Amino acid sequence: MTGAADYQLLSSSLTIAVSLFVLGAIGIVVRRNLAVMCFSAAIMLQGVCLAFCSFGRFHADWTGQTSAWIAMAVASLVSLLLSAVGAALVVRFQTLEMSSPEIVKDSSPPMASFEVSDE
Amino acid sequence: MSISNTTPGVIAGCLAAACGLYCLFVGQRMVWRVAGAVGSGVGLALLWSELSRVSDWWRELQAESIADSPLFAICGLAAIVAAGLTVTATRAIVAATWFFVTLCCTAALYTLQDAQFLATTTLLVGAGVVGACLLLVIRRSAVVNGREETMQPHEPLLACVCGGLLAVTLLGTFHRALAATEVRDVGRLPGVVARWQERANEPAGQRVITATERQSTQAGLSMFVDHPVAMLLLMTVSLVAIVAAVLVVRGMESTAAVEPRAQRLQSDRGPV
Repeated sequence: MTGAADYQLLSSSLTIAVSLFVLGAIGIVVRRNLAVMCFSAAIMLQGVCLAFCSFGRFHADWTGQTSAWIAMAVASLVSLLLSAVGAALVVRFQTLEMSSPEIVKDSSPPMASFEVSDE
Repeated sequence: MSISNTTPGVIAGCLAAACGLYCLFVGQRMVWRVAGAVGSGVGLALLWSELSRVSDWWRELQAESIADSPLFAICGLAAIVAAGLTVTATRAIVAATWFFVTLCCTAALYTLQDAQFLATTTLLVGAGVVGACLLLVIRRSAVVNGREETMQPHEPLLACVCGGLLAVTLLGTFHRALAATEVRDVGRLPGVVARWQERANEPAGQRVITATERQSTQAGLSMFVDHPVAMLLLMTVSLVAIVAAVLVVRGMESTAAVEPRAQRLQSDRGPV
C-alpha cells in the first residue's frame, strides 16, 4: 500500500536522480579532460542507481536495489577502463586533455599493435 | 536527554574538526598538516560520540516522511551542488574531491532510504575510483607536466565551515542508520552462536540485529538467489573489463619501451 508520503519520497528522489544524470551528461559532452569525463560518467550512473533504489523502495521490492548494485558495478568497471586509458594517455602524450593537438593529430598505429622491426 | 547537556561537546567537536581541517589544508609545514589531520580526526570522533547521546534530539529532526526530513533535503541539495562543482572544476584533483563529496551525499540518500548495503558499496567504489584516479592518473599527469597540483581552497575558512556542517549532517545520517536495531526470533542457535549470544546478553531464541545486518542479508539473497543469471553476466563482464584494462596497460608499457628504440634507430639512419 503506497501513500502520499511514498509518492513524495519517490518524486523527490527522482528529481535528484534526474539532476545528477543531466549534470553528468553535460560533463561528458562539454568537458574534454578524461578524469572529469570519468567522474561525469560515474555521476550519471549514480543518478541511475538512485532512481533504481527509489523505485525499489516504492514498490517494496529488492530488485531495485539489486539493479542499482549491478549499475554500480558497471560504473566501477567503466572507471577502471577509463583509468587504464588515462594512464596510457599520460605515458604517451603527457596529458589528459582529449582535445590536445598531440592526441587529435596523432596518426600512429594503436598502442597494442605497435611494432618496430630491427631491419 | 536535554540538548543543553550535549551542546558543549558538539561545539567542541565542530571547533576541533574545523581547526584541524584548516591546518590540514592551509598549513605549509608538514607538522601543521599532521597536527591538522590528528585534530580533525579527534574532532570528528568527538562529534560521533556526542551524536549517540543526542539521538532524541536527532529524531526530532526527522519528520514522519523521509522526504520531509531536513536531512534528505540537505543531502540531496549537497549532492546536486557537488556534482555541478565536479563538472565545472578546472583542475582534475579538485573535480576528484567534489566527486567524492557527491558520492558521500548519495550514500547518505541511500541510507535514508534504508539501503545501507548500497551506501557502503557506493563509498567503497567511490574511494577506489578517486584513489585510483588520484594516484595513477592525475598525480602522474601533474608530475609529467612539471606542475604541482594543490588542494588549497580560495576561501579556507568558509570551506572549513561548509565542510564541517556537511560532515555533521553525513555523520548524523549514517549514525541514524547504524544505530537502528530490531529484535528477531531466530529459534535455537548453534553452540558457538549461542555462546556469543550469552556474551552479548541477548535473550534466548532472539537476536538483536542492526539494520545494516538485515540489509546485507536481504541484498545477498536477492542478488545470488533471485537473480543468479544477472550476477553471472556481471562477473563475466567484470573479467572481460579487467583483461581489457591489463591489455591496455601492457600496450602502454610496450610502447614506452619501444619508442626510445625507434627514435634511436631513426637517428642512426639519419635524414632520408
